[in-house]
Amino acid sequence: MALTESVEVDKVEIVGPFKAVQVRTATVIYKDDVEISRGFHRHVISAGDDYSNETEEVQAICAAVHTQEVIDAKEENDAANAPQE
Amino acid sequence: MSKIALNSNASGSGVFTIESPNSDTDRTLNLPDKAGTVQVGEGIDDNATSTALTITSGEYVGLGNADPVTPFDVTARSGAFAMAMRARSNNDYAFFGMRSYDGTEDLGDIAILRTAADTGRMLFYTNNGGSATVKMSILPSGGITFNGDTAAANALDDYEEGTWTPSISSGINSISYNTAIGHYTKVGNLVNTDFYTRVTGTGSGAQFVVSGLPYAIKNTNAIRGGGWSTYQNISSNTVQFYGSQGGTFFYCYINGYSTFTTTSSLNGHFLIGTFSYITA
Repeated sequence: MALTESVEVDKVEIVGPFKAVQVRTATVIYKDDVEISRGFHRHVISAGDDYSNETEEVQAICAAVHTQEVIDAKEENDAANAPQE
Repeated sequence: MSKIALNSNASGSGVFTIESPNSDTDRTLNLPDKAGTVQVGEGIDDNATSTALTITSGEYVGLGNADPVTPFDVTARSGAFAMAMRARSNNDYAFFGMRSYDGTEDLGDIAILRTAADTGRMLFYTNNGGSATVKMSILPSGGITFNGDTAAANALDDYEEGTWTPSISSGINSISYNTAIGHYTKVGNLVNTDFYTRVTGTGSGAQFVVSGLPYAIKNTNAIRGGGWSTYQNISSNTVQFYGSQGGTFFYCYINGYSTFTTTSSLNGHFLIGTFSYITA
């Protein structure tokens, strides 16, 4: 019996006007090459976030959608919607 | 006058016999009044040479198999489909009905409704007295609706469980995490999260902000989400969470609208809570 683990980005979604890049990472456990378990971990890369530690595929997506225009619009939106104290 | 011809085969040596049944009633074998060939015995009985159609001695029918295990047992061949049902002539419904033993009661059905070319809504019917009605549907675009509803906005179109990594992105300097783990369950567009952080650092005096949500909060005015701390030992207050519209973080407050801050040294302090919100 051999147990192996595979970690892979299995879904990338681009959501909303500020192009939030939602990344789902799947951890898959195989027993003798048959999948017996699959778990998900999620994180989101917002416009303006550092994505240098992401996979090449995710970096390419972020580079394509997080234009300076989108980053500026996101910052403007955050400032406009920040809670009032 | 029509004629009957009996043709032997020059190559074969077997004797073929037409045998009368043990019956006192006259029988007539009628040949079809059109072009074609009538073949009896091949692929139909339980010792046939073909498996296209098999009828066993137990009166089970197999299509594509020679050993049916139910009264009607169909096996796919090289393609994916074992069986297909077509819509009726006006190209709308194809029904699979399930009935009472005597066939008089329509107990439940599964149907596909063709709504456009290459487009269909799957319908599940049950009967609670009277006629079977639609109780659940799968919309062409995906998502489950109930009781005949066809509105995509009401469709339950996603369910997912997983983990996320919470981080306190504001409020603590030189932060390190003893523990930082979050879980989420997404049902439709509602995300329920739970998180557990144990941190070391020095309070910066800035408002606490927790980041790293698994989905972006929907960017619609007046949608913020909310939650509260279920345990924390940084202050004596319950901390309220207030989401960032369109963002992936939430702000921390106490006593309604006061920002949650500290300038204290933190050494293995806890901030644990839940936060729920609507995503895009």
